[in-house]
Amino acid sequence: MLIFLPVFSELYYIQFASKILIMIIFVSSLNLLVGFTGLVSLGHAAFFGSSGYVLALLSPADTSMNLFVALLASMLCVGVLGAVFGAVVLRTKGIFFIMSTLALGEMLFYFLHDTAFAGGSDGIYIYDRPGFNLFGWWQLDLSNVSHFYYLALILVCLVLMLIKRIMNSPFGRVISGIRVNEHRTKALGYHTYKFKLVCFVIASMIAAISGFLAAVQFGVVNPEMVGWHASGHALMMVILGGKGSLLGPVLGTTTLMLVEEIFQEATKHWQLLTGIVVVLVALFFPNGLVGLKFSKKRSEI
Amino acid sequence: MRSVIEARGLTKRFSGLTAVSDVSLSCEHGVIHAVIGPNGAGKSTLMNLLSGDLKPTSGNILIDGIDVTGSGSSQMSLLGVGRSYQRTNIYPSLTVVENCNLAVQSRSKFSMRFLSDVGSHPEVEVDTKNVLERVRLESVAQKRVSELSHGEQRQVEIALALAIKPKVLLLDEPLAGMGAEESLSIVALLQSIRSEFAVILVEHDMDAVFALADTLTVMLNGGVIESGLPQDIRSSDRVQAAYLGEDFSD
Repeated sequence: MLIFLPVFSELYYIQFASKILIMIIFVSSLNLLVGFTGLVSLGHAAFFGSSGYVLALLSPADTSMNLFVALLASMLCVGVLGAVFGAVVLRTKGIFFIMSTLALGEMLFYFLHDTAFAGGSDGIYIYDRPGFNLFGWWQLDLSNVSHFYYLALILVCLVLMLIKRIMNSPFGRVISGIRVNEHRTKALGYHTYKFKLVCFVIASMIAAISGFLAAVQFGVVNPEMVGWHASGHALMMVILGGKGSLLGPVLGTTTLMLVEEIFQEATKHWQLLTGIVVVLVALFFPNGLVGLKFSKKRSEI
Repeated sequence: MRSVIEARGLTKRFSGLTAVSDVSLSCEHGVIHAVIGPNGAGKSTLMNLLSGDLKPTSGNILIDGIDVTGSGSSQMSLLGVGRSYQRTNIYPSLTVVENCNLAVQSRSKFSMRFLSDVGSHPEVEVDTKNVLERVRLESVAQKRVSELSHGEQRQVEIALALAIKPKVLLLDEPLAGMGAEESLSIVALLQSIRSEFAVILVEHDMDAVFALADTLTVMLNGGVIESGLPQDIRSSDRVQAAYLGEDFSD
């Protein structure tokens, strides 16, 4: 059904579905930190937004860039930023980790907000979206909503496969150990700081994919994309869906974005209603929407 | 015989309180060196110094004659120091096998590989199976550790220490909170593996201590008051006065 969506759906809904797909990538990358490693970050949007900025700053004024070159460049730049941020914030633990991720994210926000080269509070427009030309007989045009939707769908699948792969790897084993009991993991001989840093960089580079897509979709980047609102929004989706599972971010993101969309149509007090829904889910399904599925299964047995 | 692990004049001060004061001891391969003393004598702090969980204020730690003072717990582990904790310190939400796999994998070079599948490194599972057989946990291998009995959790604690294939085993009250029968089986387990390691054992169960120890060190108020063969310690007046009480003063 997801594959055929662009065939029968209106333009607006294809765009909305693409937005959800982009958020799924972003929320999944945050889940890698929050759910799998036990690192609650409130500054993850720094990597989402800065990826868009890299694209905007790299894009030439009159021609469009090769999609893959642009995407790789964004991911690499954001990976470097992730390594720098991670090296600092991972020296702290618990509440101090949350605070330092928040602080670095906000520093980046004001840096982009108050400097001329980044376009200040208006941000930067991307006039020519990157594209891809397959030996001259097929052109991927990202201003075409269907083309963009398919690209996002493919990338979501690749990202989910990648995260699954990571969690089933020897590295993923250590990451789980750090989440459950970091002290013991150290005592077993693992240099846990290194593992957390590698995980932080991977998560930032996956977030870069989503930020890149978001910038391409609307052709504009602005400081709001790196602000703590965006980070908190994603964290809410992680918790709503259920942290530490592959499907959690998919469920959480889709549900929250649909709920917001419906309430927005219905009333101007939509944020109040959304908040109530989130609180109710948190109260009754402490393991998130994924837990709902499992608790049903268990009661059947 | 050369000491596998040696402490020279170890001292640890916590702002005002001297928890461990000028302690020297050593342990050779195949020897069980027991450290006893009343609560608050500094035994656990000493273990934390030896395992790198704490850094000494002064003094040195040597492994195979090489000074390794100041190494953190992960480095000490890689140098061959395996330890069990007094308060069970394992992975409650993981299964016994997963607990053990993590410990075994710490000796490998592929822990950073995030794109290879755990299935492509079956040697980890093989080692885990051997360790679980030794500590007799095969029957609960697939259970989550949080579902196990206290005694079984203590066995997992020891399994993690064994799984890293250490040269030195630091066992901090392995019998804590165990019933008589469980205690006996742990003592039997320690007897069966004693020849392979240098073991430093902190324990309150005197029957176990005298059954296992080749050498005894008695601590009181952070310092060593006596050290030697178990039978000499048994007859030492100072030790009797400080610690053993009437039970041993015939």
